[in-house]
Amino acid sequence: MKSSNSIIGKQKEKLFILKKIIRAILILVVLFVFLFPITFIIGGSFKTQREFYITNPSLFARVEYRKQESFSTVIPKEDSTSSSEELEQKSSSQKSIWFNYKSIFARAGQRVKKGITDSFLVSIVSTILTMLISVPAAYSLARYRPGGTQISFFILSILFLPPIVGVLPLFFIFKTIGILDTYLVLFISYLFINLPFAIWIMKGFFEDVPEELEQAAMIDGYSRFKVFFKVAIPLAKSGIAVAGLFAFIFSWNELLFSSIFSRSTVQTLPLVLQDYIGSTGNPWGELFAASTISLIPAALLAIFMQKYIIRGLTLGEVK
Amino acid sequence: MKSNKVNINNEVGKKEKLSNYKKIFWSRKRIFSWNMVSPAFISLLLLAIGPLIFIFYNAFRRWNLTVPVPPKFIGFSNFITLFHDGRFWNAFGNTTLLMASGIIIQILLGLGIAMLLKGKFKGRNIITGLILIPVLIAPVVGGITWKFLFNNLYGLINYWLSFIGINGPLWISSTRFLGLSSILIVDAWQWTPFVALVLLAGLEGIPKEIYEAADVDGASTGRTFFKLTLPLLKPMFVLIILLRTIFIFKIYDAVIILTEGGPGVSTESLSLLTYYIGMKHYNIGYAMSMAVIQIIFMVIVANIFLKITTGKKKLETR
Repeated sequence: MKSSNSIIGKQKEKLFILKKIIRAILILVVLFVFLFPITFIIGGSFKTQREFYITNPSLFARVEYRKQESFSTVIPKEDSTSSSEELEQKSSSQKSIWFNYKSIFARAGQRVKKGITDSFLVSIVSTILTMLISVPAAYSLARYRPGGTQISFFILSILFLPPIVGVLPLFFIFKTIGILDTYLVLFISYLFINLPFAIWIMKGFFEDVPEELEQAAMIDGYSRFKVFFKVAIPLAKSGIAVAGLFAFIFSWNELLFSSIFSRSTVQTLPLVLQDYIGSTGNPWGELFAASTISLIPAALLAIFMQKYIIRGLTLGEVK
Repeated sequence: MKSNKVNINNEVGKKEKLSNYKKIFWSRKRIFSWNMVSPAFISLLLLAIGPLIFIFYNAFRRWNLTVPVPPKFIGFSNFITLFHDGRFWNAFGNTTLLMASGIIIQILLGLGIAMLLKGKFKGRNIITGLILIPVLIAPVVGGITWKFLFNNLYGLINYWLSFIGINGPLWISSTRFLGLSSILIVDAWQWTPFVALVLLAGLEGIPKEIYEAADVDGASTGRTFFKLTLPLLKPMFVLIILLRTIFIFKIYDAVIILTEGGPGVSTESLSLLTYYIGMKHYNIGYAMSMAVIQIIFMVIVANIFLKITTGKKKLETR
């Protein structure tokens, strides 16, 4: 009896270990499926132009192609009239692993560089603008519900509307006012996307602040505004941070509005990336270097703020 | 006399009531709450009212910038044309198809991943963080990357497929089916992690005691899954379906980067078609009638969303 029991126990243990191994393998498969395109982007940023045109591609850049490239670009330069100093500089920049990044930032009049700076500027300003307007609104809607459910519904339906519906009329309106292709037009139009989202997210966080605490503060002689500033905001600060980060990411990733409202004065990074794909013979390595830079905020947010991402993207429905 | 008294009383009552209303209406609380909400409300109103008037006005006009005829009011004839327009129905069908199949695929895959990640183990936070990256990256970047991966000569997908003896197809540009499949794959890649983590939150919100009770009753694993887990996840499924409906309905970036609506116009989504009609063909009136259809659809969904979510306790997990 005893021995058979222990055999069953051992079998169970074996089965348990087997299950664990299978689970680990499956998790690795899942990780691979969702991360290999990301790896491809990062790997691509280290590839030479030629490596995008081989029939046995890989996720990572191979060293031999980089060596070939620096070799082949030096040779034609020899019979040109460029000075040896310039030539040396060129070959050394080709040899470095970071050559794609270097050429993004080194070359004058580079669109990618403008894309990055413009995107950064537009995202930062529109995030600040969004937060200034949405924090008090979210608090008011959470605590006092002015206008009943009507205002909530109005905000929610703007959030749900396909952006294309708003884009065409806004194009004609902005054209009439004469602010197309300025920074201002993106600051304003990104409010259309960011405001409803930020309000909806933070509303949930403010609803979590216990009302008794605010009442106690008011008994202590705080004005309503002071309660909002000194009690509610500190207690909902994680919600405010989440909304702000989402506003930044949305502005950073946005393509439709920027492609229609701006063209030459303002060029956001997604717009520059889209134009890359439209034409052939572009330096693809640079495209992937720019894409890598573009995914940095997303990666940081995903890894460090994952607790709140699901809450954000379900519009506060899942805590 | 008697009636007079009553009247006076009534009058006083009315006055009191009126002043009460005034008090409530102009109470500091109310003023404060409106002051706080008005910057957001006014800016959204300004951003929304203009376009709404524009849309509903022009949807009933013939206004084509390529035709040198002044705009004219034509009643419902834009909508009548729309209902007979094969291109519109094709885009409508594509959007619906992407919505239905996308939601089903993402829920099935997401449920599998959620079951896989359930429970505490080492490195789980890092894993969930890593698989969330696709959710947050720009759709443009995702689209460009997959366009390279799908390339039939130099792409990784077909290269890897060749290892297992499959001659990979011309993914994005050959047929409607493959074009839509490519869009579906990219959307699933981007959004399945989100669906998985919502379901994971749902799974972990189910109290352990329920499973223990089922175990005591001798229920099999399969039975527990279908009779307990799935019904208990229902609110999560509803939420996912609603949110994915809204977001796939807007699908634009992935389509314009991957297929540009092609081959021909076969993989156009509603958003992309509206964009083409309005910004490429400059047929503003017609584009606006499409916008009206999309607004009506979204108002219905927003109503359902509010009905389901308000008045009910939030889905608390963890």
